[in-house]
Amino acid sequence: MTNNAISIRNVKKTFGDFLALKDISINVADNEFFTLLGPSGCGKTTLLRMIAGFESTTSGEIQLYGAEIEKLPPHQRPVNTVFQSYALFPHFNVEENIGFGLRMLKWSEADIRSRVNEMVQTVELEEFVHRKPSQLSGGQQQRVALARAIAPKPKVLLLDEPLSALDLKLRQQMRQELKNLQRETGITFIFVTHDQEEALTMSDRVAVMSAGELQQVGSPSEIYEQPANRFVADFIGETNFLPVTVHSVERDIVHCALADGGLFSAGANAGITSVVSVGNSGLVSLRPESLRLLPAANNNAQVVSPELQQSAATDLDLAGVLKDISYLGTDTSYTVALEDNTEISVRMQNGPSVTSFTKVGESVRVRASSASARFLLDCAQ
Amino acid sequence: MAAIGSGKTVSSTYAPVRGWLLLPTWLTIGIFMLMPLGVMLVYSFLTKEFRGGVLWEFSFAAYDQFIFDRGLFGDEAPSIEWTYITIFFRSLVHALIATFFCLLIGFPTAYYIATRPTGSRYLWVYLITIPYWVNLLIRTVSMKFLIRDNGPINQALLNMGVIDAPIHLINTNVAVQLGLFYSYLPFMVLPIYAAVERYNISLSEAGADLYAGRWTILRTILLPVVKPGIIAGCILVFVPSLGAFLAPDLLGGAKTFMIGSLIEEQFKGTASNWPFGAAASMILLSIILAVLMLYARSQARGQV
Repeated sequence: MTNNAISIRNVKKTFGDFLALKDISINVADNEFFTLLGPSGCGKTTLLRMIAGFESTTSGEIQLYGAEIEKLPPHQRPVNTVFQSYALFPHFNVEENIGFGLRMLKWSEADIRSRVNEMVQTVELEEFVHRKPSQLSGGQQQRVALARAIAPKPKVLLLDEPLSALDLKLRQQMRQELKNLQRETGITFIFVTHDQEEALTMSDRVAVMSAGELQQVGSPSEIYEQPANRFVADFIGETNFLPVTVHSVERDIVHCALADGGLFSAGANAGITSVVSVGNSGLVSLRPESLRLLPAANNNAQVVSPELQQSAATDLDLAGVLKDISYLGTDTSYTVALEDNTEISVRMQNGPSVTSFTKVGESVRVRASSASARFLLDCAQ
Repeated sequence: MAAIGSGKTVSSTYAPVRGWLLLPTWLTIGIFMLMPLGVMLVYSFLTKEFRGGVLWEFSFAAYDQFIFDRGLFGDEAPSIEWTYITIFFRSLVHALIATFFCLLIGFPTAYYIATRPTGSRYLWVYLITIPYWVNLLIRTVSMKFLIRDNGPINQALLNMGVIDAPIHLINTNVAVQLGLFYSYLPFMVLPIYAAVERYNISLSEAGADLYAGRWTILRTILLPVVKPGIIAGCILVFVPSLGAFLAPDLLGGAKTFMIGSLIEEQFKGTASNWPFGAAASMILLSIILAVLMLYARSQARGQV
């Protein structure tokens, strides 16, 4: 009836009088790399542990390929977990760790041996099969944990912040390897992380969570470019917020008025344009890299792109003073103080065709096209 | 948190202890442990003086007496003297049984304590040590009053009609076992508690995640990982049980005479045979050492 690997329906979880999960519903498609992203304490790990069977649901249901699983104890669920601390069995060597699940499933000795060999090759640990976990580096331990969880061919693999204990370089390398592994094995991955970069680079879809609630589910580019609310815009990447008042609303554009009366247009999700009305207050999220810095004197030389003219959208155009310049190699990051002292950060690529600004205190203009500005409701966060 | 790298880092500045700082330790061990042992070793090869004490004449008599029977006047052909060997084996069996029951009861207790939330965990450990605030003699005597024929336990059972006649416990092996069990249970609980507390509970979760049921997790993961704590607990119960004399003296009778009481008798009792007491101590000590060394060697082989 469904090709959802995991279907979570109206799941709630309370610990005493603390509401850890408030009515969560998520469908994870077969063969998907799905990420639960949020700050610590948002409930993402609790949700993962519910799928594994280590936590019970207070209400709601969890289905695995259409079958109810929340009555099953962990050892009867065809899902495997890569634990944050790896949880390798210290008294077993690499081979025995990887083969543990297979022995429990009563595979034949010959099958176990060939599967363990296969896994050892996949994670490139051939030389270390007889070592104990304490004799391996962090990265190697991570691979053993991964191999151990994949060996029994689970229907869904759960990964609880598996990269958080690794150093930066290894983490970046493992991201790519995990992504490849998911593609090769065809196993559905549910990946928990608080690292938004990890979530964006690896996932097919990301669920952003905060305080036990689902904030937005979408592809990495959707949640980055079309955030559903202030939390998502703020949590994913870097952004600037400008308080505005709604001047008029179109299907996917909100025309906004600034405090000083200046008008400009911002894109908005359909969910927002359907509920917002003229006079409401809201926020506009401006990604630093979508802003352009122009010399103040260059006021008349503005180029208005043709599609903007068609939709009668107005670009944001603000005057300000350069307060800080940080050179970052490929980019330069500028901090601009607007006339009302709001600070805005702008990031521009360095290159021969780009005017660079070098003087703090210089008067500048900040511009953003309506396509790169997003209107959001100012829900209290 | 996770151990990165394969070896343990040893600080070259703080790890080595300067030799002279160990002086008080060496003095204490030397004066209060090695010297008395040396005295006992020497005494075991001397001749007994009848009112206690020793004559400075070298002799194997004490060891000979332990093993061989040469008749009342020492002039018959030697045959094996079973009395002391029997006492020895009885002690060994008692100590093994006491260790077994301490483990049976102590492990779940330790596991329960170690898996409580941090706050109440320390309260439980504290409660476990409370009996130790009372002298062992007093505790053993109290036990005697509790279990004797007209003691409160028998009276209560009689009054409730559960039994018709008092259960006779005093002067039996069961009473000795009760005494040993009660005396040494915390020695089993505390090291196992320490080991289980360090145990990462996500290992059990990983086991369950990889299709192991509860008993399999206990058998193949938990027990092997906390084994050092279990072994330490067993040694801490087995060794003093083997040489115990209070529980067998007060709760047992002639039939439950143990090696500890035998040795005690040689020094302050009616027997008054110092060389023989010293020899029995040396034999006990060598057997315990042999067991510990066998264990240490098996551990060393277990390490990669």
